[in-house]
Amino acid sequence: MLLLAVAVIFPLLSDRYLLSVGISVLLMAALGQSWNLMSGYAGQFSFGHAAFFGVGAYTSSILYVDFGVSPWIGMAAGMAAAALLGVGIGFLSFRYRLRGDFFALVTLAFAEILRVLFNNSEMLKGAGGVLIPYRDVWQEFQFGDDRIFYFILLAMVIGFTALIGVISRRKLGICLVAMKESQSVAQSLGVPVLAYKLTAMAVSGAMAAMAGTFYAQYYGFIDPGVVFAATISVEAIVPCIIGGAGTLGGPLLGALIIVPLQELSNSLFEDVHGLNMVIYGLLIVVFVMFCRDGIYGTAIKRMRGVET
Amino acid sequence: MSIYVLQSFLDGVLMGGIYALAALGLSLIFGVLKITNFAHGAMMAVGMYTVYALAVGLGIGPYAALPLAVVFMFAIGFGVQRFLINSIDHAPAHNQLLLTLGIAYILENVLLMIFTPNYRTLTVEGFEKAIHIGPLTVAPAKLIMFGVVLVITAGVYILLYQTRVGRSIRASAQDEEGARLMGIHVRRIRAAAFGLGAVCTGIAGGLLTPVMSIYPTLGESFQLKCFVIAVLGGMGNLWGAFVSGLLIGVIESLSGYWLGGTWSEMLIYGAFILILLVRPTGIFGRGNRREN
Amino acid sequence: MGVRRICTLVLLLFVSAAAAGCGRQESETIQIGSVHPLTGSMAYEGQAIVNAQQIAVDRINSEGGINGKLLELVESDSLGTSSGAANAALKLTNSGVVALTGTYTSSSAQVVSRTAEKAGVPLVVTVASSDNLLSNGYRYTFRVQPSVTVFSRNFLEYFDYFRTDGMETVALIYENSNYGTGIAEYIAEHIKETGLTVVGMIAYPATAVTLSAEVTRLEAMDPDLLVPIGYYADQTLLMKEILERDITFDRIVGCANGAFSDAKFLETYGDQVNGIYDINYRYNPNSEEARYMLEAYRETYGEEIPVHAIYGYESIMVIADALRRCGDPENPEEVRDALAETELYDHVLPQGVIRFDETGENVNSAGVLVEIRDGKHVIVYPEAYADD
Repeated sequence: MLLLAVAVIFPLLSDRYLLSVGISVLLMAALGQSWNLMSGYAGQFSFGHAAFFGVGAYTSSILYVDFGVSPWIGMAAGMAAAALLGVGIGFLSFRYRLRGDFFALVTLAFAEILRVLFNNSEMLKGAGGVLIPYRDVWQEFQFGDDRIFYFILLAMVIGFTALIGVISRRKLGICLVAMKESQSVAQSLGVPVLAYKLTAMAVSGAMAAMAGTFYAQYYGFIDPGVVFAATISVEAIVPCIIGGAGTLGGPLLGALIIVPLQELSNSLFEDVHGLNMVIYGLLIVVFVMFCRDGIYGTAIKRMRGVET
Repeated sequence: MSIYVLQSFLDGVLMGGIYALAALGLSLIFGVLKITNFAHGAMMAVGMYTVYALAVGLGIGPYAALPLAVVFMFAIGFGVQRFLINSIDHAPAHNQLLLTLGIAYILENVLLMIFTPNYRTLTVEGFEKAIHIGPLTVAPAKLIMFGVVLVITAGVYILLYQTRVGRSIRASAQDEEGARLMGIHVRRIRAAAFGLGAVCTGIAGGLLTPVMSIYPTLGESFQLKCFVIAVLGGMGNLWGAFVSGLLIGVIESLSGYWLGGTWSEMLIYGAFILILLVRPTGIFGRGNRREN
Repeated sequence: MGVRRICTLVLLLFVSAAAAGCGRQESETIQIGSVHPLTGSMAYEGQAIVNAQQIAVDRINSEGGINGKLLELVESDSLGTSSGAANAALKLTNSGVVALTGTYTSSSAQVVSRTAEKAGVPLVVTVASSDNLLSNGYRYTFRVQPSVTVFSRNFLEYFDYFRTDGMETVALIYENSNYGTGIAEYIAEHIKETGLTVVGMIAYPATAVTLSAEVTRLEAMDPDLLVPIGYYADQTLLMKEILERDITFDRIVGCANGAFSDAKFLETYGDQVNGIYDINYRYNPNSEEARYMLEAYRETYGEEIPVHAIYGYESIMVIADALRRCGDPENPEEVRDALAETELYDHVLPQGVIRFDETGENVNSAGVLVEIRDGKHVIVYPEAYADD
């Protein structure tokens, strides 16, 4: 609650730079929640969330630039497309019993192949990318004031979190976690494993797509190398692992910690090129090694008195 | 078949040798440690710069630097496994993956800090021109490269199948608990396996130093290709990794000849998805497959 | 770790990030921001630009700065990503820079361009060649360097100076991002007007680790004119293969080629690459200032200035010129207006006066035709800048 209050007041007090960092935090948290549902709760380890993100960004942008469709509607279309992609990937991997690292590699390959395809498709403007014209018109998902962007993204993150919260308390969520522990047991208990998994993947894909549309509208330019990049997929994973995968607050906390830390190391070690990224790498290593369940996960365990 | 196709085939085989060696390291690490190593490309870059630094610093040429690089790479691999990855043994797959990713960031950027991001080129005296074999041409550096690949691969094979260390490594790969009961120091053996994997990939990188201009993030270009090859051959199946390496090299080269590099990229990823779905144990069977 | 401790930690992080990021001091200097990739796969190019900018800043300061105030270059790593570039740009505008420069890649340039527009701080693009960069109607973005279209048009304009007798066919080999594809497609479309036939278009990813097959393909096509377009690493890969195998073409003419105009390329291949042409960035050999820039860069960084970095140097000079002309050099709005009225005759570039049109494009921007002769780069056209 306190955190929410701070998040709401934050843009009113901060300057442009802090606001921009805040948006980076929220963007990472949004991607993180999307990953969290598919991988943290449902146990389908994705290493290609950029695929959904990119599809979302491209769908709304192409519809907007070439067909004059408002990005608000484009966003819905992008979510549908990404959900479809999620179901597709999910179905294929379920059909061929793909798990763990191999599932991760398939998602990675999908993101890569989409990057190459989009890069070479003239219809999708190829390597040149899509430029979103800038006008201050809310119907077109454009705002001169970045604080509005911030609040939209904040609402998105709260919505994602609430949705995952609801799902995790319902039968669907409990079954997802059960499936993660043991798929065969879940199956023998009559859980419709496939349907549940596909639902999780579709919703997760749609969330990432939503973040993708936001990204395109806020930054104003996308190209295949940017939105289908492996760095996007990594940004979806990092906050979850650091905060705690499969916990509701994990990705939020992870993003809240890692983004400012990275900005801090960028500012402090500006003079020695490369040191900022070494520090970033070290941070990841340290968090993964000493906080196995993530910060939130560890905190919860402590509070419940469970020793790790 | 036209002479150009034959030439492309030959070039594909030679480059495929490098892919094979690098993927061999990845496959070995996966086979023994069940870790998908995302620091593999970065380790390859470390190998490149090690050979470069030794060759330039000591003035001994890249090939004399290789044995020293073997020692160095083994030490790095051993250390990374022993002190970093080992401590999160049996953690979820995504934790391990993120850890190797963090290691990759560190390695790449340490290289950037030491060597600057400037492009480095190593020229070998007398290697400026290709050798003509009938109508075909081969660059001497690539020929030596392929020769060394064969030697190292054979060496790794002998090490794994003819020595006690090798037996211990394979035993730990198949049944960790059993190996421990047999009195094998599993932690050390696992570190040795990672070290061996690092040597394979590092030498693959080192062999490329006389062939192309190097820069700190160059290894990334090999990362995904190594995954493709290791999966194609069956993760953990060394023989499979080797053959698949050559195969991917040839596919890349022939599609590059007919369609251009853009499309060979797409072809390889497409084939990758297909194999992952249809035959995740690899086209040669026998690989081990990770269950969650 | 209790909840309260976590909250404290997060709060602390934000406060320290804020402290490190902003802190707008009443500084004694006029600050210029520089957003370039300093890590990652484009780190070399980014760092070279920043180095050249530093040379320019030092030169201005050695002459007493701007109206008695010294210039200061504040750099920030764009990390090569859009969000990284936006955060870096805003960090700089917050710390009080009067102008931004950047960014090497077109995608980052687009993002920083929008950021600059919203923040009301002028952006002078160092290197980013994409054609649509200035198509937004933004008021705050200016570009000195030639765009994709300018380079491609130059290629066709200079055609007669590298054409050989009996030249009939042409093949293009290019990296498949915005820059390579853009130039290659423009040239392929318009070169027919000169009577040449395009016999091949080969695209490859800039991350390619081998181009053997592509070279074999070129050998099979056997065009009279070969046009390679790409970055340093991939183009040296291409040329190494061509040289090793003694494959010859009547002419090899690069367009904005990342390797051909680079000093390292000559060091590595020496006389083997004589007779190669390139349409590219260059300094004006007759300019006193350019000679100073070359010398200073060589002395400070131990290598020849990479040609794209020249635009880093000139971006600072263009800003300095604007600062001298405006009433309050610490007001970004006035700096923007002064930039828009730029009329700079004395500069290091091989072009006429630097002047921006209403979109912010340098109206006289142009590349030059360079030939590698006796292991040296020689400008052959336009004659005004010819070395001999």
